[in-house]
Amino acid sequence: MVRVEKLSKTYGSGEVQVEALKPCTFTIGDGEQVAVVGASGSGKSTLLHLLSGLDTPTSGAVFLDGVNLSEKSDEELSLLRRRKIGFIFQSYNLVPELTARENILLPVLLDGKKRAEEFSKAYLDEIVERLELNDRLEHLPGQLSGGQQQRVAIARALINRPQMILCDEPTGNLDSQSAGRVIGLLNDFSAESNITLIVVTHNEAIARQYPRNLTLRDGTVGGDLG
Amino acid sequence: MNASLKLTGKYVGKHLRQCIGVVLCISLLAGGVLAALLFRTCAAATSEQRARERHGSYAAVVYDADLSKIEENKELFDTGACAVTGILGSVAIEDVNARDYPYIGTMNEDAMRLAGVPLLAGRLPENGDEIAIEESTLYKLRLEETLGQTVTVQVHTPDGVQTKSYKLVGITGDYITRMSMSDTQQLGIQGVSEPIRLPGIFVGGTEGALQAANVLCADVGMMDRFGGHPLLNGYFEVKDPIQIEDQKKADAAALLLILLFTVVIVIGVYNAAELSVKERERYIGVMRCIGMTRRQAAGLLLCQGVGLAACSLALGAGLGVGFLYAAVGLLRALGQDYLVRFDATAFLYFALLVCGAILLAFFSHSLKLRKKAPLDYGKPGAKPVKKKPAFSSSFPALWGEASAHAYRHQNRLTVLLTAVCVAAAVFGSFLAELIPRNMYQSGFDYYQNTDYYVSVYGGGGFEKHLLCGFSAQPGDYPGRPGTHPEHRGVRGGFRGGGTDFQAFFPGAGRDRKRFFTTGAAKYLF
Ligand SMILES: Nc1ncnc2c1ncn2[C@@H]1O[C@H](COP(=O)(O)OP(=O)(O)O)[C@@H](O)[C@H]1O
Ligand SMILES: [Mg+2]
Repeated sequence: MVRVEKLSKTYGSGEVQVEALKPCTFTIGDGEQVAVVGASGSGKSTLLHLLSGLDTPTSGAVFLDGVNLSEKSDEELSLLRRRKIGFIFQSYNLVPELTARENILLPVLLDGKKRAEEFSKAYLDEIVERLELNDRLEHLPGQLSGGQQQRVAIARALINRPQMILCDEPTGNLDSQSAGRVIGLLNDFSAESNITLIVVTHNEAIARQYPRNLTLRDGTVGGDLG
Repeated sequence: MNASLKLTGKYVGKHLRQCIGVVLCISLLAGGVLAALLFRTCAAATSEQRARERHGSYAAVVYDADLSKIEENKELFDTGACAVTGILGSVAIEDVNARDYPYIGTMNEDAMRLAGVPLLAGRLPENGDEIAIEESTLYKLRLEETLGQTVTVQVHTPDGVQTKSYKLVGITGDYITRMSMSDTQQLGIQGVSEPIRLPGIFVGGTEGALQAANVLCADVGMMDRFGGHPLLNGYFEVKDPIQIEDQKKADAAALLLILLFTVVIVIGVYNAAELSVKERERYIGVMRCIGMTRRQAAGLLLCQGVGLAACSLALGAGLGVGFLYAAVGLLRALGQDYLVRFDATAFLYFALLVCGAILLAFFSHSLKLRKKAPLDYGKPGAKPVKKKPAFSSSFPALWGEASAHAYRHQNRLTVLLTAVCVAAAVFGSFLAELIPRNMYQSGFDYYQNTDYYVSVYGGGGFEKHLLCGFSAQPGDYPGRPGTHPEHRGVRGGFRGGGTDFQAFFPGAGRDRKRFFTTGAAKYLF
């Protein structure tokens, strides 16, 4: 469960101060699927970064399963992101020198030898199968289409069986067909494995697919629709 | 660590050419410095050698030398003094080819002692009626070893055959004079080759003989050991032949340049290294977002830094040594000989420079990691990396690739500057090598009333040289026999005792051929 309490983020100070996120409080339950919508610059990415501990809040706190992220060390946050949170970016952010397979296994690699042994190959095969990446595993990101790259990113996010997946405009660079497929896959995985899914989008159509929408307007979390 | 190695390996594998480009850039810069430093060492060693050789080829004379002091230093000489002071002629022996006739000549008692000719029996002759005979010659003449007997011989002189009777007063051990073919030919003694036994029969007195000055040659450093008046001005006058002073100045300037431009080179290496870190920053950012810890990120950079340093060290050292051999090769092709010396400090300096700059670049980034939040690496949401154009393997292309991105101009400027600096530094010493050397100039002087000369040839790192020379007049010409204009063709004059002239002359020897052009020899002798 993610609990956000009076969370706010202000960038800079003085003249150039930007209040990217105004104090907001909300809770997202386990396995819940939420779309975060809002215009460009409304603070969506900021919110996601705070939720994943990538950024530190100016005030307030994010509680993940009751644990305050602000109290965690950088090392602990890294491990958290590695093991409990999957992150999907608009620009895929695959490591270009690694093949699709290696990119998918990157979190496992980062986790060291011990975890790598624990990791089951069957699970990899399953995800790959579902994401239809079987014949693309040995390709480098540069050799994949946008949709394929994003599917690799999804696989990477899923590989450590996260508790929560955060997606920052996952379909922003994709055509509508690929976009639909990516969203569908994300929703399916989330539903099947009870993964909390938070998808940032400014695409109304996509947002409408989600039972719950958080609307951001100039840093203010508005009407919790749904 | 495992992950760091693996990721670094992947990175290098994927960006092999780019990595090679960076390593090449660093190696070229640092290798240039190494070459310049090594070249300095070679230049210094060469100068030093030349300095020694300059002295060595400084032909000088100690006149009025003190015989006892010469004796004291006898062991320093290659061979003792030539004891023969003159030749009366050859002595005919039945059934023996005229060419093998032993010679009869006058000798110098002191020099004989110096030459280490053992007296086996009796004494040395004291006047023109007495002789001492070499043991083997005695046998050749089929004479008994009886002292006091009268020996009658047919002496073949240029004036004809004379029958002479002597009293045998002593028997000596074998005495071999080193005499070169050319010398013997000049003496009109045909067909004899060195070493030659002369004369075999010693006769007392100075009858018909050219008076010899015993001339000993030694290292120049020995000159003051012989008493008398060393460093006789202008015997052979050699004017600063190799301009060591100029060389030293150029060398000092080169060192200064090298040290100055090290700063520039460090910046260049730092930039090249930083570039390869910068390259990865974005992806480190991505990986930080998906759970890479700071320590892992630092390990990744360290891995890359150490790898880069190791490769650059190996390649840079190779290039540096290569450059050195190229420069030395060029000089050698231009006719200057050059010693190649490797200097540990140059390598140390080079290694410090490379490792220092690279590790500084990586370490400073690793340090930054300690403060950086994952997002600070560059927005993970930023635009995707553009696909790079295919690599060309030519160096400009590699360099272009390595110096791409924000650091391009800085790097190009640095490399340009560095190239100029390294060239200046290397060529500082190098140009000094191209300064033409003065030719030897020599002149002859004649010294009268001199009993002993110590003539100094060679020295330095070269072999010890000959021992003696002769003169037509007492104390006249202790130099190379047969070359003095007044001595040429002196009838019956034995001016032996010279050695192979090549050996006299540093640079004409086997392995030092080009230190001084052999052409210079004709000025000297
Ligand atoms: N690192 C930063 N420094 C300063 N301002 C920032 C930074 N990141 C985001 N902002 C500002 O905060 C606001 C919200 O940004 P962001 O969360 O990226 O919006 P969105 O993702 O909804 O487009 C914007 O006005 C943006 O300019
Ligand atoms: Mg955004």
